[in-house]
Amino acid sequence: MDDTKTMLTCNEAENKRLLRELMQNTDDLVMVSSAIDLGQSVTVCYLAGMIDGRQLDQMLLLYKEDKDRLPAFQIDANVHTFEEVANGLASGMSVLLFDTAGYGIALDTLGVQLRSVEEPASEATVKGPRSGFTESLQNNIAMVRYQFASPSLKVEYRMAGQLSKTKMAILSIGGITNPDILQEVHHRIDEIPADAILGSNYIEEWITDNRGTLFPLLETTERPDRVIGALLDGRVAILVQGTPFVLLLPFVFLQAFQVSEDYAWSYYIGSLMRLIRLFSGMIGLLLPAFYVATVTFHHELVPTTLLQSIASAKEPVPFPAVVESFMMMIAFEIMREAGIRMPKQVGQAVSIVGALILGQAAVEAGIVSPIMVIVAALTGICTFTLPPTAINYVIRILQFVMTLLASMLGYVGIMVGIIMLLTYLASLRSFGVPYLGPAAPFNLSELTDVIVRRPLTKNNKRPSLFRVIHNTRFRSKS
Amino acid sequence: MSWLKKQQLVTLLCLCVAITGCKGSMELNELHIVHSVAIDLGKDGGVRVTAEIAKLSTGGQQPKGMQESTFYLTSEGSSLFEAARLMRTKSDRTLLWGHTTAIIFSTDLARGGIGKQIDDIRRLRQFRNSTLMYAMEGKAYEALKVSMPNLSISSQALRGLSEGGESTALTEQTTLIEVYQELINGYKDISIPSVEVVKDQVDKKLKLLQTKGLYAFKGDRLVGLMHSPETKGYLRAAAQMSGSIEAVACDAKHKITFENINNRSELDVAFNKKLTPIVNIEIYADLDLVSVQCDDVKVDPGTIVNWEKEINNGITEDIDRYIRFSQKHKVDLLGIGEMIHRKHPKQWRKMKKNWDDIYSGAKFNVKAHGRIDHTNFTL
Repeated sequence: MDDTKTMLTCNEAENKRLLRELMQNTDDLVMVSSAIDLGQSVTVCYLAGMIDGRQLDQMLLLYKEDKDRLPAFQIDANVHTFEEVANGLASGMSVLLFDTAGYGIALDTLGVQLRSVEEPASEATVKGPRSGFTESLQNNIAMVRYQFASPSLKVEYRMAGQLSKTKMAILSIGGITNPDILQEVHHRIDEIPADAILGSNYIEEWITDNRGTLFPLLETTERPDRVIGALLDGRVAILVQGTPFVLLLPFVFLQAFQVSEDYAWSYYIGSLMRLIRLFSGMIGLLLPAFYVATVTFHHELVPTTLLQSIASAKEPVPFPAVVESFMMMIAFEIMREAGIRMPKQVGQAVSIVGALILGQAAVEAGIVSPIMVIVAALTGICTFTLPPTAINYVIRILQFVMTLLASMLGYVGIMVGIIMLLTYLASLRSFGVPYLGPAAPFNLSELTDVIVRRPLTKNNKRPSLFRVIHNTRFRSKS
Repeated sequence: MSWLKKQQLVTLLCLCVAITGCKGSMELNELHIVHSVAIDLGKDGGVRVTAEIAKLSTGGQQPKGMQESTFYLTSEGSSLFEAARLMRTKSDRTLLWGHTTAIIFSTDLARGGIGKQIDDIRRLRQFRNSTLMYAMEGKAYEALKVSMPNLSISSQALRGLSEGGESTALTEQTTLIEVYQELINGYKDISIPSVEVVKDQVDKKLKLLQTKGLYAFKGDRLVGLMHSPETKGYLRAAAQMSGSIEAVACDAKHKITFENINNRSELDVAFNKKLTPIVNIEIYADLDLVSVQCDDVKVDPGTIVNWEKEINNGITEDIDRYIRFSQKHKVDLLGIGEMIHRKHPKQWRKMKKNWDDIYSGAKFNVKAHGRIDHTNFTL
């Protein structure tokens, strides 16, 4: 795209012609000429469907009454070049062009029908706020402000995507967020050369610390309460126009096991839920590997009675344990993917096929052993306890790697896998923050609000991990 | 590190995994799980090993687990290891010895010494330390063929029977590591529970396994069987008893029965002038009244004191019987020698050489302090 700018002329017909040309002669460009007062004709331009007609009418009436009043409402309303006019029209503004003046007036009349606020589909809770973000950037910012009515909340607009001109808002809290991190965010966003930003992941892939890693170094959420919680921890949120998913950064690994609902229950329950999530994360990663290693290498480690049961179940199965487990795990992944993609009407068909064919019939036909079905099912269920961040998918990918290692080297293989994984995780950084923090580098007092949940009355320090300026949340009054 | 070097390193690591791995793996349906082993005397001084292996039935709806029936493989060799290896010629799968729960020695073999066999078993490494040891009069493999009503795998039956020793004090659980430790350390002589095949008293056709009594070993050689009273006396004195039954006669035919719920013993060694050891054994036992078979029995403090006296006499008698047995066979199952060694090392040096004779001449004072805690209801 060239950045040449053409000034508006004083000739109305010429303006209209050039504007049409610039807008690729698009058919939904509406240009209505009307005489506002004697001697001066005004052309109202807008894109059909993008504007709120009633709002435009009101603005025009105001303008007719008093020509000076309108610009008072609209800061920077005067536009001077065709490019400005075209960009304004594309983002839902109406532009008034005059036949005598060499400028136009842009009116913010955006009125697109969008989804209303609903419960977030991917982060449902039993207890806690039920509102989720929508596709409207303004509305999303308003939702954050509504729950966190503080003047220290800072919103900075940025634009990315040369063609798509996607608006985004960077949220932070003055006096808490580290300015270095904030500056780094701005820097990385300004450097994005992409032509179009169609969702938050478009940003994530550009601004992440390590573009080759499997692990997510930013977090996404649909929940305003989670965004506010993150902001208060000294993190930065990036809201993107057109998507309900908000990016939170920096992100550390152990946060993948936290959900905002932990804070909606008493801290005993919250802590227990967190521990269950951690535990099931480990099961999701390691259970198939442990099963394979045990039945192919370490028969002695199982109690005799259990081994006897496993052996008689495995007796008719023609495949090695590792093949069996891969078959079941792949089948589960296929079913899960089908479950997401398929229309709701055919949902029953998939569940019947899944339960009967892949579960019962496969066992009865002697293709897989019943124990393996239990292992695969438990593993699959366990990964669903984690909040739907990308970690979820990463664990499912890594469980294949772990199983493969276990089938080659037994428990030694699993140990090798875990050591390599931890080493790799320790090497990752998210906006300069160590990915395994606060476990490594170790910080006991901060771990108490990561592994379990600290009582809110004792939670008087913000995590130093995100290098906040002001570390104290509150001082007890006693 | 250069790119080439990195590549070489990765290749090397992958090769390590591929070359060193996989070899040790063994699928479960390439294995026979051995549950119990019987060791008999073979021809020409060899060893005859019988392994009990669970049959795994296929095609059934549900896995049967420990309810599977079993089959047996037998082979002979000059040593236990050879016999076990030769067994593979009859077996279509690799034998997994690691899950052996019970090892039964025949008494014929045990009289000649089990030290070498235990040594071989330890060298095989696969056997668990918690493997239970038994000795049986006659052919040991006969015990494997007995199928208990609910369990066809005899190792499980034996384990269950041994656990019963906690309430009867007529047998105990002796594990491989215990036997091995005692053989190596020599702190005391070993005892191995006896197992025998008996007929059910009602259903004469039904054969059952029974564990009653202990075989005493001098070193690694079997020297004699301790019957019920001796076993009870021994377990009481060694403080290895948790429950038993004691009875007191109340008239010519009937008895009053007590359940022993707690037992503690204190052993102490002293010497007289001739350096003959004097062993004081004090027994503290708690008992509950469980059954009164006589009519007109009045339970009051006076009768309870009398019962306690009689019970104490019974306990002393059991222990005396054990002492007579041990002195006759010169087996020091309680580890009196080690007690002297630790408390009086100077005297022990003099006694060490002819300890066997000194032991058989030692004096034992047994004092029982039985107490009846509960009569279980009030009259």
